[in-house]
Amino acid sequence: MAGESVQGLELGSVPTVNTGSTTSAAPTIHAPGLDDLPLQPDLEQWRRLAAARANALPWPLPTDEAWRRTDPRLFELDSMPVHARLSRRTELHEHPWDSFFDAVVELDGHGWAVRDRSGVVDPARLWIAPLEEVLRKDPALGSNFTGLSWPEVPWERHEWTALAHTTAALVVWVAPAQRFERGVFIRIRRPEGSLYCPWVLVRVEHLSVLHLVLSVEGRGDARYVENLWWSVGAAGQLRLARLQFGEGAASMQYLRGRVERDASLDLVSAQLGERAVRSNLAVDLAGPGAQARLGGAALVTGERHLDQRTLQVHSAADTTSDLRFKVAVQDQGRSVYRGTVAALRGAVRISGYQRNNNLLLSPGARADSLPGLRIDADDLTCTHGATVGQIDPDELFYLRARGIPEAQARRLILEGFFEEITSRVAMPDLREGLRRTLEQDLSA
Amino acid sequence: MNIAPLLEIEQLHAGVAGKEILRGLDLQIYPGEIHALMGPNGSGKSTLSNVLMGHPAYEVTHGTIRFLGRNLLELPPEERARAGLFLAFQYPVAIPGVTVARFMKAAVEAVRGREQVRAAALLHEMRETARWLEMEESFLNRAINEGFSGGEKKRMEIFQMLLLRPRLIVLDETDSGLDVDALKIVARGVHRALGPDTGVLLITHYERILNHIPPHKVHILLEGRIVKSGGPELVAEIERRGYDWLRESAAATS
Ligand SMILES: Nc1ncnc2c1ncn2[C@@H]1O[C@H](COP(=O)(O)OP(=O)(O)OP(=O)(O)O)[C@@H](O)[C@H]1O
Ligand SMILES: [Mg+2]
Repeated sequence: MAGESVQGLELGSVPTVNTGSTTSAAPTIHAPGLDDLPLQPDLEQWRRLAAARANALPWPLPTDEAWRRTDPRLFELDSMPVHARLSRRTELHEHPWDSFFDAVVELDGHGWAVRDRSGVVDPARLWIAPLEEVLRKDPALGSNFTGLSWPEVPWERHEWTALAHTTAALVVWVAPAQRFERGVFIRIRRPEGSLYCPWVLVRVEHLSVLHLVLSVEGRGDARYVENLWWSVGAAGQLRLARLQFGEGAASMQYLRGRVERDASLDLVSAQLGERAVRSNLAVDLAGPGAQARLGGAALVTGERHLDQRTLQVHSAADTTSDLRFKVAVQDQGRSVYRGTVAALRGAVRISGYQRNNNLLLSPGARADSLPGLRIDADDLTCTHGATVGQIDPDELFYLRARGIPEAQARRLILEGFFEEITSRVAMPDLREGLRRTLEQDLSA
Repeated sequence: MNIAPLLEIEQLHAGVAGKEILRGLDLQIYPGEIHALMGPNGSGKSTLSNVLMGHPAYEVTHGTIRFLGRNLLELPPEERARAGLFLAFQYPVAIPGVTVARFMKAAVEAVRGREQVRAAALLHEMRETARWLEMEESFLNRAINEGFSGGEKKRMEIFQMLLLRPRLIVLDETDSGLDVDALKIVARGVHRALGPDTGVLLITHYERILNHIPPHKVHILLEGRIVKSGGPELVAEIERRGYDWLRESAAATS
């Protein structure tokens, strides 16, 4: 189990390359995770325990190493009232993308609703239901989500707080050997003025394929804390696109997931909104042959602050991960990226790749990048790299020399910068939609 | 008959990074003329092409450039292109993630005017032009110059030139690094772009291309000045004697 082998990893926030040596003597801050608090059918009791966990942890201080570049005061959760628990309702807003999907789930300030567009939503095929209901009918399902804990991404007080105060907890479960290529669209329209904490748990059983798109939008200030967990069973495939829009809120995202034997995760994350964002992504390649492709496109404008953390954990042999996070920063925007590729003992013949490219579009823009490796296995290939740069004046000149005005030339170069990520969005209409959104944001 | 020159350069002084490279250059190109510009490495040929196109890193300290009667130095690069100036770069840059088709659509719309361009017709024209230059159609969907071989990059410059239909074509060593067949294709492309109203400034080190595109006039650039102009016979003389004899006579006259 990943939770055990990870004990041997060295903790420390400075990126290090550590080949071979035993590091179990290193100081360990053990943040309790789900291993010692497994999900249980009595979810109310579980929530009380989660709240106790939250209260036992301090709020971070600006002097904490993990928060040195991102002021934790941006994410003070108790400055807003907790949003009421959502109940189910029947009506759903229309959205132009709805027609691309088998099923649409909507969460807003008033409730949550599902529309089964293809007649596939069914507890035996594609089960979309509240976590309480799922755990009551199938208590074992909760065990898919244990073990999502690593020292690099300690469970934070915000995270436990969100779990304790969940606005809605929904499960998307795909039965074995099912294919949902059109898949599920989860649209979250977060309200203004509250602490709003959705929790989405995705389980793709063996040999199944699920395409899932989650998008968040909203206006005005709010505290938004999302927990998004997934677990992909043997030879299963999860294609996940997470699109963050919205303006004005402080948004925290905790994405934790596991990919089992010969299964794959293909994630595209787009960060295009909100005032302050802290996103945590941790992926465990838990079974031999597991693969993860992780793409990120982010645009930080105005005075926005974006802090992204990623962890690729190779806990099994013959696993592959490929992460490319691209960030463009404009105006007084600020981006922080910190990533780790960890190869646990015994994870031989793995290939881990991690790259973070930052493009600064204005003199006041800033980006910090801290890529890192932590290696306790042999016989592997791990590569990581980061760049922070500006638009190449020769590229700009080349386009202008062909008659393209400067502003348009800059936009084209930026589009090209993101193309590596946007081209990976599987659905053509969604891909075009994302390109157009980026373009609009760029020309704004 | 009184024909106005396409390009008129007078006493041009220009440099980069605080260093003067062009030191009093004069040149006139009339419609229908092909001018060859030769000169040793570092004499300022690419500096001239960059200054003509308006590269922001290059500074003009003295002199004038008129193109089709307009003061070229007042125009940003994109307006120079729209006025009909085309530079085939000596070292074309790659632009990751921007396909040739996307790039050329933006360029053609900018140069010909958006109303004049129909997407389907333009795509057809791009395909036809690529085929004519013996390029794979798949080039249209590749990122500009990314992973292109040296020769493919040069051919891509000619492709762009044909689509943009310029009045003055500056070819900065487009012939360098081309195999025999590619050179013929490039020359064919230039001939196709030529017309009675078009002019060419062909920067080269080699006689080879001039056999395919015979120049009306040949200029020798040395240390930022045109030290000798003549007919095609000058090319053979350079091939035979190199540039040193010109250095001596240039030193004697300055
Ligand atoms: N950005 C720059 N900074 C400093 N010096 C430069 C810069 N660009 C050009 N130069 C210098 O200006 C001089 C002229 O360069 P240029 O590229 O115009 O020569 P060229 O005649 O085109 O040579 P070649 O035949 O090798 O292409 C050279 O000495 C070169 O090093
Ligand atoms: Mg040159």
